[in-house]
Amino acid sequence: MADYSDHLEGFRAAGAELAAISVDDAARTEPVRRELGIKFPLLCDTGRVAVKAYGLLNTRENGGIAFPAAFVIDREWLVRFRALEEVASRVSVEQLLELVRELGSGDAEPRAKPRKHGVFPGLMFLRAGMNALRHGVRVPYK
Amino acid sequence: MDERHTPAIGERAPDFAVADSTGAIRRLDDLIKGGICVVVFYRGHW
Repeated sequence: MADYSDHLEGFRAAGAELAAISVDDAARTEPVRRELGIKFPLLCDTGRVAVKAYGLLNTRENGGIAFPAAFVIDREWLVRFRALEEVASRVSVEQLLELVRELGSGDAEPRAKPRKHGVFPGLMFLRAGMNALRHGVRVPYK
Repeated sequence: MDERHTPAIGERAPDFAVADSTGAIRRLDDLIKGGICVVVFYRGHW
């Protein structure tokens, strides 16, 4: 989480918000948040609601914790990137920030100023395809 | 892990409403209002 905290301004400059979720309660999480000076929300999913909704409940450990994962979600609620650490190597914060910057350049701020859209949709599909190969998307793209 | 329930690229992300460590309820709906939201799941602090 310290890595993400270090890059928070970069994410926000790219038009992105950060949120991190674990099953730890507030009593355990808040002191860590303060100690590290984290300025984005640390969600305490003690009910495993979000963890289950995203299919990430690891029932083999400590009564059920989250499998590490990261999702980039756009304003249309669409998943634009995902990294599942159980099936792929860990994604770096720098990689995520780079992706968010590309997304931000393409369509995150349509009201700000008109931009050329020619390049970015192409990059998105290329990247989505590469990720499908890398991470093994099992549900057909609809 | 149950990948059948894990949203893939191009699929709609499930909403959630979960309290953060300060007690404030955070919904995905609110988090994506700025444009993009990066949601990270982590193991926890133990």
